Amino acid sequence: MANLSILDKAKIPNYFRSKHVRTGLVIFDPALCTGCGICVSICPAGAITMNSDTPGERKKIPELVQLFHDKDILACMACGDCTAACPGDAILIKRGYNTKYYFKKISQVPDFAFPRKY
Amino acid sequence: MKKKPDTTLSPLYTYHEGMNWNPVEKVIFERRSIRVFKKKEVPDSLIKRILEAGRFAPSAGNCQPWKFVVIKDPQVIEQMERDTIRITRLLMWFIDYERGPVRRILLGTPVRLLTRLVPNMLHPIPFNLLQRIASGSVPVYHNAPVIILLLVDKRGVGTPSLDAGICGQNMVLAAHSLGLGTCWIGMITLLMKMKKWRKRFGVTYPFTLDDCLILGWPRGDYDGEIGREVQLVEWIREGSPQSKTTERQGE
Repeated sequence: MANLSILDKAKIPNYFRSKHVRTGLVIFDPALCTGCGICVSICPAGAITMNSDTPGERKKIPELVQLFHDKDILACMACGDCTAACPGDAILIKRGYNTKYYFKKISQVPDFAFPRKY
Repeated sequence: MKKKPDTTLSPLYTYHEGMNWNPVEKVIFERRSIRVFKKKEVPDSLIKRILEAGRFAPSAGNCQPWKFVVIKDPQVIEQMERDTIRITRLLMWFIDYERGPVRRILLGTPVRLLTRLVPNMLHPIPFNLLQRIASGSVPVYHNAPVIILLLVDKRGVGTPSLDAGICGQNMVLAAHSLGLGTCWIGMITLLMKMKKWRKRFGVTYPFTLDDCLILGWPRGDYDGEIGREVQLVEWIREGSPQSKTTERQGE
């Protein structure tokens, strides 16, 4: 289990740098995606847009919005609304949201699991 | 991913290992925060039925430290939306250090120090949301037809805000089981900084307002099972009082 050291607790990170935060990441399967745009309309953070020009593809595929100058900082926090809404099961949560240092999630590990029938 | 799987439901009040979900569990696992609503009106009787689920929630010492305010007027909701965006813009003018190079130099260190003083309010996730609201790319109340304010009576036993949370979750589950969609909106605390709205909703002593529920008929079928991070659970069992074992919940 991750224990925060005193140094980590005292640090004042900048949560707009990828060194200090790991934002969520979802991947869109271009083979299964129909380009219906439901995920774009329901994303709570407005983090998804339709990719206007995919080379070699006629249909539009969604993609995550890049927020700041740092390309690894996305608005996604892996809430899973898009995966639950997708009619074609084309969206997969690749990575969860986790900051480093002070706001770090301590008792959760990055692996994702569906509700299990114990 | 896994949408609502078509399985037969188990009856209530029974358990054997690996059985299917019962109706209550099904509602719990498929509940998602709904943020896209139909224009269709929600009947008063249905709202009253949901409030009834809140009225029968457990609370410390049965003191029921809550008060409900139901807002159904679309004009009022529109005004609330406008004022929340206005106050967010004002706030972000002072604390948004990522807006430009000058602000980054002047505000960077003081705001990050402030983050340490009020860690819950300025967590990176709400900070990001505030930025998105101020820029107008994300709505606050999502054009919901109904808003239920969950006022907390400060004089309650123990931790009244926790009791109000239990009450709210009761209402959320009841609403989802009846086919409605709900979402918690915490940004209403910003609106409560304005005296005008505090007076209008009766948020004066002994009441405080920390959270509200929006509800309406969901547009599209957005409920469904999703994956969540695996939880590390510490078990303290009978045989080993000194050492605790950590198990991965969910795998």
